[in-house]
Amino acid sequence: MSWIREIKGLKKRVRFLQLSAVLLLVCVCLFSMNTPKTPKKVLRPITEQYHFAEDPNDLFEIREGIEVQSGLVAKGDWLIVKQTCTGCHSSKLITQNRANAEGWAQMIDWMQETQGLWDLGANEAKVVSYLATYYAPEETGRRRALVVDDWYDIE
Amino acid sequence: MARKKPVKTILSALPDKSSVDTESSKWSRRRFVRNSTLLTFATALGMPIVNGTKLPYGLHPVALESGNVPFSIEGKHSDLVLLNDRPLNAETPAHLLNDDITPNDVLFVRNNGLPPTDVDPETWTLTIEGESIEKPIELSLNDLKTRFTPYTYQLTLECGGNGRSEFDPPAKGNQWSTGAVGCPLFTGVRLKDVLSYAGIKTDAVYIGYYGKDTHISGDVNKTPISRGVPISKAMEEESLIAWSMNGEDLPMQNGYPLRLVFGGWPASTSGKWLSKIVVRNQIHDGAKMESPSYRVPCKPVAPGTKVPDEEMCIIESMPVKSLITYPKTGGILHTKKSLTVRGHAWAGDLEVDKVEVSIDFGATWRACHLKSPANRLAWQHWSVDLSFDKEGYYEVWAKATDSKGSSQPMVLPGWNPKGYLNNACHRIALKVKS
Repeated sequence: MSWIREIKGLKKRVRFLQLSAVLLLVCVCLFSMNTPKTPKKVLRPITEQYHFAEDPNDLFEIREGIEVQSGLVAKGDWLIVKQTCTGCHSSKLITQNRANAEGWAQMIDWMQETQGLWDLGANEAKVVSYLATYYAPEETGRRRALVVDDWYDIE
Repeated sequence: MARKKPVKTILSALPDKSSVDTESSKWSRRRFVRNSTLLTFATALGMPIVNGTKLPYGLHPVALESGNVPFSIEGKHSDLVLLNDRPLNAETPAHLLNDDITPNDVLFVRNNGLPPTDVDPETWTLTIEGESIEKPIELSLNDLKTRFTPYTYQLTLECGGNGRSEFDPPAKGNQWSTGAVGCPLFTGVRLKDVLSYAGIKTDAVYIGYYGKDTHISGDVNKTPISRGVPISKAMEEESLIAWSMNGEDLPMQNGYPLRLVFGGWPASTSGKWLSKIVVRNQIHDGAKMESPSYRVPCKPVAPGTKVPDEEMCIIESMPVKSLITYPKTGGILHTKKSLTVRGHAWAGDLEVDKVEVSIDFGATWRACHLKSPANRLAWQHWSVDLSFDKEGYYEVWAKATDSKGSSQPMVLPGWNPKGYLNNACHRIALKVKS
Protein backbone atom coordinates (compact mmCIF):
# COMPACT_ATOMS: atom_id res chain seq x y z
CA MET A 1 0.00 0.00 0.00
CA SER A 2 3.01 2.19 -0.06
CA TRP A 3 2.10 3.65 -3.51
CA ILE A 4 -1.18 5.06 -2.05
CA ARG A 5 0.80 6.87 0.63
CA GLU A 6 3.13 8.22 -2.07
CA ILE A 7 0.18 9.63 -4.07
CA LYS A 8 -1.21 11.27 -0.90
CA GLY A 9 2.18 12.82 -0.24
CA LEU A 10 2.35 14.06 -3.83
CA LYS A 11 -1.05 15.74 -3.47
CA LYS A 12 0.14 17.53 -0.35
CA ARG A 13 3.21 18.77 -2.19
CA VAL A 14 1.14 20.02 -5.14
CA ARG A 15 -1.14 21.92 -2.75
CA PHE A 16 1.87 23.44 -1.06
CA LEU A 17 3.25 24.55 -4.42
CA GLN A 18 -0.09 26.12 -5.34
CA LEU A 19 -0.14 28.05 -2.07
CA SER A 20 3.43 29.22 -2.66
CA ALA A 21 2.56 30.38 -6.16
CA VAL A 22 -0.37 32.47 -4.86
CA LEU A 23 1.82 34.01 -2.16
CA LEU A 24 4.50 34.81 -4.73
CA LEU A 25 1.91 36.48 -6.95
CA VAL A 26 0.72 38.65 -4.05
CA CYS A 27 4.32 39.67 -3.30
CA VAL A 28 4.99 40.51 -6.93
CA CYS A 29 1.86 42.67 -7.05
CA LEU A 30 2.87 44.51 -3.87
CA PHE A 31 6.33 45.25 -5.25
CA SER A 32 5.06 46.34 -8.65
CA MET A 33 2.75 48.88 -6.99
CA ASN A 34 5.85 50.48 -5.60
CA THR A 35 7.69 50.50 -8.91
CA PRO A 36 7.54 53.64 -11.03
CA LYS A 37 5.56 53.28 -14.21
CA THR A 38 7.25 56.10 -16.08
CA PRO A 39 10.82 57.30 -15.83
CA LYS A 40 11.17 60.59 -13.98
CA LYS A 41 13.90 63.13 -14.31
CA VAL A 42 15.82 63.27 -11.08
CA LEU A 43 17.52 66.61 -11.38
CA ARG A 44 15.08 69.44 -11.51
CA PRO A 45 14.92 72.69 -9.60
CA ILE A 46 13.38 72.05 -6.24
CA THR A 47 10.70 74.67 -6.80
CA GLU A 48 9.32 72.75 -9.77
CA GLN A 49 9.66 69.37 -8.23
CA TYR A 50 8.06 69.78 -4.87
CA HIS A 51 5.28 71.96 -3.61
CA PHE A 52 4.43 71.16 -0.07
CA ALA A 53 3.50 74.40 1.57
CA GLU A 54 2.55 77.93 0.67
CA ASP A 55 5.77 79.12 2.22
CA PRO A 56 8.36 76.39 2.82
CA ASN A 57 9.80 78.44 5.65
CA ASP A 58 6.63 77.71 7.62
CA LEU A 59 7.84 74.15 8.06
CA PHE A 60 11.07 75.10 9.73
CA GLU A 61 11.96 76.81 12.93
CA ILE A 62 13.87 79.94 12.03
CA ARG A 63 15.36 82.05 14.78
CA GLU A 64 17.16 85.31 14.06
CA GLY A 65 17.54 84.38 10.42
CA ILE A 66 19.06 80.96 11.19
CA GLU A 67 17.28 77.67 10.61
CA VAL A 68 17.55 76.00 13.98
CA GLN A 69 17.99 72.37 12.89
CA SER A 70 20.81 72.96 10.40
CA GLY A 71 22.22 76.24 11.65
CA LEU A 72 22.13 77.56 8.06
CA VAL A 73 21.37 81.20 7.23
CA ALA A 74 17.71 80.94 6.19
CA LYS A 75 17.95 83.20 3.17
CA GLY A 76 18.03 82.66 -0.58
CA ASP A 77 18.36 79.05 -1.70
CA TRP A 78 19.10 77.69 1.76
CA LEU A 79 16.58 74.87 1.37
CA ILE A 80 18.33 73.52 -1.72
CA VAL A 81 21.61 73.67 0.18
CA LYS A 82 20.16 71.86 3.18
CA GLN A 83 18.70 69.15 1.00
CA THR A 84 21.73 68.76 -1.24
CA CYS A 85 24.51 68.88 1.32
CA THR A 86 23.20 67.40 4.56
CA GLY A 87 22.39 64.08 2.92
CA CYS A 88 25.98 62.99 3.39
CA HIS A 89 27.61 65.31 5.89
CA SER A 90 26.79 67.60 8.75
CA SER A 91 25.67 71.16 8.05
CA LYS A 92 28.42 72.09 10.49
CA LEU A 93 30.92 71.39 7.74
CA ILE A 94 29.27 74.27 5.85
CA THR A 95 28.68 76.71 8.67
CA GLN A 96 32.23 76.49 10.05
CA ASN A 97 33.89 77.08 6.65
CA ARG A 98 34.30 80.26 4.61
CA ALA A 99 35.17 80.59 0.91
CA ASN A 100 34.42 82.57 -2.22
CA ALA A 101 32.48 81.08 -5.15
CA GLU A 102 35.62 79.53 -6.62
CA GLY A 103 36.54 77.93 -3.31
CA TRP A 104 33.06 76.46 -2.73
CA ALA A 105 32.94 75.18 -6.32
CA GLN A 106 36.31 73.49 -5.74
CA MET A 107 34.92 71.76 -2.66
CA ILE A 108 31.96 70.48 -4.69
CA ASP A 109 34.37 69.24 -7.39
CA TRP A 110 36.44 67.48 -4.74
CA MET A 111 33.34 65.80 -3.30
CA GLN A 112 32.31 64.71 -6.78
CA GLU A 113 35.77 63.40 -7.65
CA THR A 114 36.54 61.59 -4.43
CA GLN A 115 33.49 61.33 -2.18
CA GLY A 116 30.76 60.09 -4.51
CA LEU A 117 28.76 63.33 -4.80
CA TRP A 118 26.42 63.28 -7.79
CA ASP A 119 26.00 65.86 -10.56
CA LEU A 120 24.00 68.71 -9.04
CA GLY A 121 22.77 69.96 -12.40
CA ALA A 122 21.22 73.41 -12.32
CA ASN A 123 21.30 73.38 -8.54
CA GLU A 124 25.09 73.66 -8.46
CA ALA A 125 25.10 77.34 -9.39
CA LYS A 126 22.45 78.04 -6.75
CA VAL A 127 24.34 76.15 -4.07
CA VAL A 128 27.61 77.90 -4.89
CA SER A 129 25.95 81.32 -5.02
CA TYR A 130 24.24 80.79 -1.66
CA LEU A 131 27.46 79.59 -0.01
CA ALA A 132 29.59 82.38 -1.47
CA THR A 133 27.02 84.94 -0.31
CA TYR A 134 26.34 83.79 3.24
CA TYR A 135 29.60 81.95 4.00
CA ALA A 136 32.06 84.33 2.40
CA PRO A 137 35.56 84.80 3.80
CA GLU A 138 36.27 87.77 6.02
CA GLU A 139 39.69 89.33 6.01
CA THR A 140 41.14 88.66 9.42
CA GLY A 141 44.79 89.50 8.81
CA ARG A 142 47.64 87.86 10.66
CA ARG A 143 45.82 87.84 14.01
CA ARG A 144 42.29 88.74 14.92
CA ALA A 145 40.98 90.33 18.12
CA LEU A 146 40.12 88.03 21.03
CA VAL A 147 36.42 87.57 21.62
CA VAL A 148 35.17 86.79 25.11
CA ASP A 149 31.67 85.38 25.43
CA ASP A 150 31.38 85.38 29.20
CA TRP A 151 33.41 87.52 31.57
CA TYR A 152 33.67 85.99 35.05
CA ASP A 153 35.33 86.83 38.37
CA ILE A 154 38.55 85.03 39.19
CA GLU A 155 38.32 83.92 42.83
CA MET B 1 -1.46 67.97 5.25
CA ALA B 2 1.93 69.48 4.79
CA ARG B 3 3.51 66.23 5.87
CA LYS B 4 1.56 64.08 3.47
CA LYS B 5 2.30 65.95 0.30
CA PRO B 6 6.04 65.39 0.08
CA VAL B 7 5.53 61.72 0.86
CA LYS B 8 3.32 61.41 -2.15
CA THR B 9 5.68 63.44 -4.29
CA ILE B 10 8.73 61.41 -3.52
CA LEU B 11 6.97 58.23 -4.54
CA SER B 12 6.07 59.68 -7.90
CA ALA B 13 9.53 61.15 -8.26
CA LEU B 14 11.27 57.83 -7.98
CA PRO B 15 13.94 57.61 -10.62
CA ASP B 16 13.98 55.15 -13.45
CA LYS B 17 16.39 52.24 -13.47
CA SER B 18 19.16 54.13 -15.19
CA SER B 19 19.57 56.56 -12.31
CA VAL B 20 19.92 53.78 -9.76
CA ASP B 21 22.94 52.12 -11.21
CA THR B 22 23.65 49.98 -8.19
CA GLU B 23 20.47 47.98 -8.69
CA SER B 24 19.97 45.49 -11.42
CA SER B 25 16.48 44.29 -10.74
CA LYS B 26 13.22 46.14 -11.02
CA TRP B 27 11.89 43.83 -8.36
CA SER B 28 14.52 44.79 -5.91
CA ARG B 29 13.64 44.23 -2.30
CA ARG B 30 16.42 46.63 -1.42
CA ARG B 31 14.76 49.32 -3.44
CA PHE B 32 11.52 48.62 -1.61
CA VAL B 33 13.31 48.92 1.72
CA ARG B 34 15.13 52.05 0.58
CA ASN B 35 11.97 53.73 -0.64
CA SER B 36 10.30 53.01 2.65
CA THR B 37 13.30 54.40 4.49
CA LEU B 38 13.31 57.52 2.34
CA LEU B 39 9.65 57.95 3.12
CA THR B 40 10.48 57.86 6.79
CA PHE B 41 13.27 60.39 6.29
CA ALA B 42 11.10 62.65 4.18
CA THR B 43 8.34 62.52 6.76
CA ALA B 44 10.72 63.36 9.59
CA LEU B 45 12.35 66.17 7.65
CA GLY B 46 9.05 67.63 6.57
CA MET B 47 10.47 67.64 3.07
CA PRO B 48 11.69 65.15 0.53
CA ILE B 49 15.37 64.45 0.09
CA VAL B 50 16.54 65.61 -3.30
CA ASN B 51 18.30 62.76 -5.03
CA GLY B 52 17.53 60.71 -1.98
CA THR B 53 17.52 57.54 -4.01
CA LYS B 54 21.22 58.05 -4.58
CA LEU B 55 21.97 58.07 -0.89
CA PRO B 56 24.31 55.20 -0.14
CA TYR B 57 22.79 52.31 1.73
CA GLY B 58 22.71 52.61 5.46
CA LEU B 59 23.27 56.35 5.39
CA HIS B 60 21.00 58.57 7.42
CA PRO B 61 20.68 62.18 6.36
CA VAL B 62 22.50 64.28 8.89
CA ALA B 63 19.70 66.79 8.74
CA LEU B 64 17.82 64.35 10.93
CA GLU B 65 20.60 63.88 13.40
CA SER B 66 21.55 67.28 14.62
CA GLY B 67 22.10 70.88 13.74
CA ASN B 68 22.16 73.31 16.56
CA VAL B 69 20.36 70.71 18.63
CA PRO B 70 22.24 69.80 21.84
CA PHE B 71 24.60 66.93 21.15
CA SER B 72 26.61 64.73 23.46
CA ILE B 73 29.38 62.25 22.79
CA GLU B 74 29.32 59.15 24.93
CA GLY B 75 32.22 59.14 27.36
CA LYS B 76 33.16 62.75 26.59
CA HIS B 77 32.82 65.97 28.58
CA SER B 78 29.73 67.95 27.62
CA ASP B 79 31.78 71.15 27.23
CA LEU B 80 33.77 69.79 24.29
CA VAL B 81 33.07 71.98 21.26
CA LEU B 82 31.46 70.03 18.46
CA LEU B 83 32.86 71.05 15.08
CA ASN B 84 31.26 68.34 13.00
CA ASP B 85 28.92 65.50 13.83
CA ARG B 86 29.41 63.40 10.73
CA PRO B 87 32.23 62.51 10.88
CA LEU B 88 32.53 63.36 14.55
CA ASN B 89 35.03 66.11 15.36
CA ALA B 90 35.14 67.86 18.72
CA GLU B 91 37.77 69.98 20.42
CA THR B 92 38.61 70.78 24.02
CA PRO B 93 38.43 74.32 25.41
CA ALA B 94 41.88 75.27 26.75
CA HIS B 95 40.80 75.52 30.40
CA LEU B 96 39.62 71.88 30.33
CA LEU B 97 43.17 70.79 29.51
CA ASN B 98 44.59 72.06 32.81
CA ASP B 99 45.39 68.56 34.16
CA ASP B 100 49.00 67.43 33.81
CA ILE B 101 47.71 64.19 32.25
CA THR B 102 44.73 64.68 29.94
CA PRO B 103 41.72 62.72 31.27
CA ASN B 104 39.87 60.38 28.92
CA ASP B 105 36.71 62.47 28.80
CA VAL B 106 38.41 65.61 27.51
CA LEU B 107 40.78 64.28 24.83
CA PHE B 108 39.65 65.74 21.49
CA VAL B 109 37.94 63.63 18.83
CA ARG B 110 39.04 63.78 15.20
CA ASN B 111 37.28 61.13 13.13
CA ASN B 112 37.70 60.85 9.38
CA GLY B 113 35.08 58.14 9.04
CA LEU B 114 32.52 56.37 11.18
CA PRO B 115 33.82 54.26 14.07
CA PRO B 116 33.04 50.52 13.99
CA THR B 117 29.84 49.65 15.81
CA ASP B 118 30.44 45.98 16.58
CA VAL B 119 33.76 45.87 18.42
CA ASP B 120 34.46 42.58 20.19
CA PRO B 121 37.85 42.66 21.93
CA GLU B 122 37.80 38.85 22.17
CA THR B 123 37.84 38.43 18.40
CA TRP B 124 39.77 41.60 17.45
CA THR B 125 42.93 40.87 15.48
CA LEU B 126 45.88 42.86 14.23
CA THR B 127 47.53 41.78 10.99
CA ILE B 128 51.13 42.67 10.19
CA GLU B 129 51.96 42.38 6.52
CA GLY B 130 53.24 44.31 3.51
CA GLU B 131 56.02 43.84 0.97
CA SER B 132 58.73 44.60 3.53
CA ILE B 133 57.59 42.05 6.14
CA GLU B 134 59.34 38.67 6.26
CA LYS B 135 56.39 36.61 7.52
CA PRO B 136 52.90 38.14 7.78
CA ILE B 137 51.30 37.49 11.15
CA GLU B 138 47.93 37.87 12.80
CA LEU B 139 47.75 38.63 16.51
CA SER B 140 44.81 38.75 18.89
CA LEU B 141 44.56 41.45 21.55
CA ASN B 142 45.51 38.79 24.06
CA ASP B 143 48.59 37.84 21.99
CA LEU B 144 49.69 41.48 22.04
CA LYS B 145 49.17 41.76 25.79
CA THR B 146 50.93 38.48 26.67
CA ARG B 147 53.66 37.93 24.08
CA PHE B 148 55.24 41.37 24.24
CA THR B 149 56.43 43.66 27.02
CA PRO B 150 53.93 46.44 27.72
CA TYR B 151 55.10 50.05 28.17
CA THR B 152 53.33 53.18 29.39
CA TYR B 153 54.22 56.64 28.12
CA GLN B 154 52.59 60.04 28.34
CA LEU B 155 52.35 61.10 24.70
CA THR B 156 51.25 64.36 23.08
CA LEU B 157 48.67 63.92 20.34
CA GLU B 158 47.85 66.98 18.26
CA CYS B 159 45.84 67.18 15.06
CA GLY B 160 47.85 68.62 12.15
CA GLY B 161 45.00 71.08 11.56
CA ASN B 162 44.87 72.39 15.14
CA GLY B 163 44.59 76.20 14.86
CA ARG B 164 43.24 76.10 11.30
CA SER B 165 40.40 78.53 12.11
CA GLU B 166 42.76 81.49 12.25
CA PHE B 167 44.22 81.32 8.74
CA ASP B 168 43.46 84.09 6.27
CA PRO B 169 42.46 83.36 3.54
CA PRO B 170 40.56 80.59 5.32
CA ALA B 171 41.50 76.97 4.80
CA LYS B 172 38.92 74.27 4.21
CA GLY B 173 38.19 71.61 6.75
CA ASN B 174 37.26 71.42 10.40
CA GLN B 175 37.89 74.82 11.90
CA TRP B 176 39.91 73.83 14.95
CA SER B 177 40.84 76.64 17.31
CA THR B 178 43.32 75.46 19.96
CA GLY B 179 41.74 72.31 21.34
CA ALA B 180 42.83 69.46 19.06
CA VAL B 181 45.60 68.47 21.46
CA GLY B 182 46.03 66.39 24.57
CA CYS B 183 48.57 64.32 26.44
CA PRO B 184 47.18 61.19 28.13
CA LEU B 185 49.08 58.13 29.37
CA PHE B 186 49.03 55.36 26.78
CA THR B 187 49.75 51.72 27.54
CA GLY B 188 50.61 49.21 24.85
CA VAL B 189 53.46 47.40 23.20
CA ARG B 190 56.26 48.90 21.19
CA LEU B 191 55.52 48.89 17.49
CA LYS B 192 59.17 47.95 16.86
CA ASP B 193 58.83 44.79 18.99
CA VAL B 194 55.81 43.62 17.00
CA LEU B 195 57.31 44.50 13.62
CA SER B 196 60.60 42.80 14.52
CA TYR B 197 58.63 39.70 15.56
CA ALA B 198 57.19 39.54 12.04
CA GLY B 199 60.60 40.36 10.55
CA ILE B 200 61.38 43.67 8.83
CA LYS B 201 63.12 43.47 5.48
CA THR B 202 66.06 45.79 4.86
CA ASP B 203 64.17 47.69 2.14
CA ALA B 204 61.48 48.92 4.59
CA VAL B 205 60.74 52.65 4.17
CA TYR B 206 57.37 53.39 5.72
CA ILE B 207 54.57 51.83 7.73
CA GLY B 208 50.87 52.31 6.99
CA TYR B 209 47.83 51.49 9.06
CA TYR B 210 44.29 50.35 8.37
CA GLY B 211 41.44 50.66 10.87
CA LYS B 212 37.91 49.35 11.15
CA ASP B 213 36.26 52.75 10.68
CA THR B 214 34.12 53.15 7.56
CA HIS B 215 33.79 55.91 4.97
CA ILE B 216 31.03 58.45 5.68
CA SER B 217 29.53 57.84 2.23
CA GLY B 218 28.74 54.29 3.35
CA ASP B 219 30.81 52.98 0.43
CA VAL B 220 32.58 49.89 1.81
CA ASN B 221 35.21 50.12 -0.93
CA LYS B 222 36.39 53.50 0.32
CA THR B 223 38.90 53.77 3.16
CA PRO B 224 38.33 56.88 5.31
CA ILE B 225 41.99 57.23 6.25
CA SER B 226 45.13 55.08 6.04
CA ARG B 227 48.27 57.00 6.90
CA GLY B 228 51.58 56.14 8.50
CA VAL B 229 55.12 57.20 9.36
CA PRO B 230 58.64 56.54 8.07
CA ILE B 231 60.18 53.35 9.47
CA SER B 232 62.59 55.44 11.61
CA LYS B 233 59.69 56.97 13.56
CA ALA B 234 57.98 53.58 13.76
CA MET B 235 61.06 52.07 15.41
CA GLU B 236 61.26 54.65 18.22
CA GLU B 237 60.78 53.35 21.76
CA GLU B 238 57.74 55.56 22.39
CA SER B 239 55.90 54.44 19.23
CA LEU B 240 53.12 52.27 20.62
CA ILE B 241 50.36 49.91 19.63
CA ALA B 242 48.12 50.91 22.53
CA TRP B 243 44.98 49.45 24.06
CA SER B 244 44.78 51.60 27.15
CA MET B 245 44.51 55.30 27.95
CA ASN B 246 45.08 56.44 31.53
CA GLY B 247 44.74 52.85 32.77
CA GLU B 248 41.36 52.27 31.14
CA ASP B 249 40.28 50.85 27.79
CA LEU B 250 40.67 53.41 25.00
CA PRO B 251 37.53 55.56 24.70
CA MET B 252 35.40 54.44 21.73
CA GLN B 253 35.96 57.70 19.84
CA ASN B 254 39.70 57.54 20.48
CA GLY B 255 40.13 54.14 18.84
CA TYR B 256 38.82 51.35 21.10
CA PRO B 257 40.07 48.65 21.28
CA LEU B 258 43.44 49.31 19.63
CA ARG B 259 45.35 52.20 18.10
CA LEU B 260 48.75 53.47 17.12
CA VAL B 261 50.31 56.35 19.03
CA PHE B 262 53.11 58.45 17.57
CA GLY B 263 53.70 61.28 20.03
CA GLY B 264 54.68 64.65 18.53
CA TRP B 265 53.51 63.86 14.98
CA PRO B 266 50.20 64.82 13.37
CA ALA B 267 47.64 62.69 15.22
CA SER B 268 46.37 61.42 11.86
CA THR B 269 49.42 59.13 11.82
CA SER B 270 48.18 57.44 15.02
CA GLY B 271 45.59 55.16 13.43
CA LYS B 272 42.50 54.27 15.46
CA TRP B 273 40.45 51.03 15.58
CA LEU B 274 43.69 49.48 14.33
CA SER B 275 43.33 46.19 12.46
CA LYS B 276 46.30 46.08 10.09
CA ILE B 277 49.80 47.49 9.78
CA VAL B 278 51.65 47.26 6.50
CA VAL B 279 55.40 47.70 6.21
CA ARG B 280 56.14 49.26 2.85
CA ASN B 281 59.19 49.54 0.60
CA GLN B 282 57.88 52.96 -0.51
CA ILE B 283 56.09 55.87 1.13
CA HIS B 284 52.69 54.48 2.12
CA ASP B 285 49.99 55.39 -0.41
CA GLY B 286 46.83 54.92 1.67
CA ALA B 287 43.92 57.36 1.88
CA LYS B 288 44.95 60.88 2.93
CA MET B 289 48.65 60.20 2.36
CA GLU B 290 48.19 61.86 -1.03
CA SER B 291 48.65 65.57 -1.63
CA PRO B 292 47.34 67.93 -0.32
CA SER B 293 46.17 66.01 2.79
CA TYR B 294 48.45 66.52 5.78
CA ARG B 295 50.98 68.30 3.59
CA VAL B 296 52.33 71.84 3.51
CA PRO B 297 54.15 73.67 0.71
CA CYS B 298 57.76 72.42 0.51
CA LYS B 299 58.78 76.06 0.11
CA PRO B 300 57.00 78.92 1.94
CA VAL B 301 54.25 80.63 -0.09
CA ALA B 302 52.35 83.94 0.12
CA PRO B 303 48.84 83.72 1.65
CA GLY B 304 46.29 82.46 -0.86
CA THR B 305 48.82 80.93 -3.27
CA LYS B 306 47.69 77.92 -5.28
CA VAL B 307 50.26 75.21 -4.73
CA PRO B 308 50.59 72.27 -7.15
CA ASP B 309 50.23 68.83 -5.51
CA GLU B 310 53.82 67.87 -6.27
CA GLU B 311 55.10 70.91 -4.38
CA MET B 312 53.45 69.84 -1.14
CA CYS B 313 55.50 67.90 1.44
CA ILE B 314 54.28 65.47 4.12
CA ILE B 315 54.16 66.93 7.64
CA GLU B 316 56.37 65.05 10.06
CA SER B 317 57.18 66.42 13.54
CA MET B 318 54.73 69.08 14.81
CA PRO B 319 56.11 72.55 15.67
CA VAL B 320 56.73 74.06 19.13
CA LYS B 321 53.53 75.22 20.81
CA SER B 322 51.97 76.03 24.16
CA LEU B 323 48.59 76.52 25.80
CA ILE B 324 47.41 78.63 28.71
CA THR B 325 45.11 76.29 30.64
CA TYR B 326 44.58 78.45 33.74
CA PRO B 327 42.83 80.82 34.04
CA LYS B 328 40.06 80.42 31.50
CA THR B 329 39.92 83.39 29.11
CA GLY B 330 37.56 86.19 30.20
CA GLY B 331 38.61 86.37 33.84
CA ILE B 332 38.11 89.52 35.90
CA LEU B 333 40.82 90.06 38.52
CA HIS B 334 41.20 92.61 41.28
CA THR B 335 44.34 94.70 41.51
CA LYS B 336 46.83 93.81 44.21
CA LYS B 337 45.86 90.19 43.73
CA SER B 338 48.44 87.93 42.22
CA LEU B 339 47.54 85.34 39.66
CA THR B 340 49.28 82.07 38.88
CA VAL B 341 49.01 81.38 35.17
CA ARG B 342 49.56 77.77 34.11
CA GLY B 343 49.76 75.71 30.98
CA HIS B 344 51.62 73.13 28.93
CA ALA B 345 54.17 73.32 26.13
CA TRP B 346 55.33 70.73 23.60
CA ALA B 347 57.60 70.63 20.58
CA GLY B 348 56.95 67.61 18.35
CA ASP B 349 59.98 65.32 18.43
CA LEU B 350 61.95 67.92 20.40
CA GLU B 351 61.83 69.19 23.95
CA VAL B 352 60.74 72.64 25.10
CA ASP B 353 63.60 74.75 26.46
CA LYS B 354 61.71 77.75 27.76
CA VAL B 355 58.27 79.31 28.06
CA GLU B 356 57.68 83.05 28.44
CA VAL B 357 54.55 85.11 28.91
CA SER B 358 53.75 88.69 28.03
CA ILE B 359 50.98 90.89 29.45
CA ASP B 360 51.84 93.90 27.28
CA PHE B 361 51.13 92.53 23.81
CA GLY B 362 54.62 91.15 23.31
CA ALA B 363 56.62 94.24 24.35
CA THR B 364 58.21 92.49 27.33
CA TRP B 365 58.37 88.82 28.23
CA ARG B 366 58.71 87.06 31.55
CA ALA B 367 60.27 83.60 31.92
CA CYS B 368 58.03 80.87 33.35
CA HIS B 369 58.88 77.95 35.57
CA LEU B 370 59.08 74.96 33.21
CA LYS B 371 59.09 71.28 34.24
CA SER B 372 60.87 68.47 32.41
CA PRO B 373 58.64 66.11 30.43
CA ALA B 374 57.41 62.92 32.15
CA ASN B 375 59.08 61.09 29.28
CA ARG B 376 60.21 61.93 25.76
CA LEU B 377 57.28 63.26 23.62
CA ALA B 378 55.20 64.26 26.65
CA TRP B 379 54.12 67.86 27.05
CA GLN B 380 55.73 69.97 29.78
CA HIS B 381 53.99 72.02 32.44
CA TRP B 382 54.78 75.67 33.04
CA SER B 383 53.58 78.30 35.48
CA VAL B 384 54.24 81.92 36.35
CA ASP B 385 53.00 84.30 39.05
CA LEU B 386 51.69 87.56 37.65
CA SER B 387 50.42 90.72 39.28
CA PHE B 388 48.72 93.67 37.66
CA ASP B 389 49.24 97.17 39.04
CA LYS B 390 46.89 99.07 36.75
CA GLU B 391 43.25 98.55 35.96
CA GLY B 392 42.32 97.70 32.44
CA TYR B 393 42.16 95.12 29.69
CA TYR B 394 45.04 92.69 29.41
CA GLU B 395 45.98 89.78 27.22
CA VAL B 396 48.27 87.05 28.44
CA TRP B 397 50.34 85.63 25.63
CA ALA B 398 52.43 82.47 26.01
CA LYS B 399 55.45 81.67 23.88
CA ALA B 400 57.49 78.46 23.98
CA THR B 401 60.95 77.89 22.50
CA ASP B 402 62.17 74.42 21.53
CA SER B 403 65.57 72.82 22.10
CA LYS B 404 66.73 73.97 18.66
CA GLY B 405 65.85 77.62 19.31
CA SER B 406 62.58 77.86 17.35
CA SER B 407 59.87 79.92 19.06
CA GLN B 408 56.17 80.33 18.54
CA PRO B 409 55.33 83.34 16.35
CA MET B 410 53.05 86.03 17.78
CA VAL B 411 51.21 86.36 14.46
CA LEU B 412 50.14 83.45 12.28
CA PRO B 413 52.95 81.32 10.91
CA GLY B 414 53.38 80.59 7.19
CA TRP B 415 50.06 80.33 5.39
CA ASN B 416 49.42 76.97 3.74
CA PRO B 417 46.49 75.84 1.58
CA LYS B 418 45.11 73.30 4.06
CA GLY B 419 45.65 75.36 7.19
CA TYR B 420 48.03 73.08 9.09
CA LEU B 421 50.65 73.80 11.75
CA ASN B 422 49.32 77.02 13.25
CA ASN B 423 51.51 77.40 16.31
CA ALA B 424 50.96 81.13 16.86
CA CYS B 425 51.17 81.94 20.57
CA HIS B 426 48.05 81.28 22.62
CA ARG B 427 46.34 84.35 24.05
CA ILE B 428 43.74 84.81 26.77
CA ALA B 429 41.88 87.99 27.74
CA LEU B 430 41.73 89.37 31.32
CA LYS B 431 40.28 92.46 32.94
CA VAL B 432 41.74 94.01 36.07
CA LYS B 433 39.54 96.09 38.36
CA SER B 434 40.38 97.96 41.54
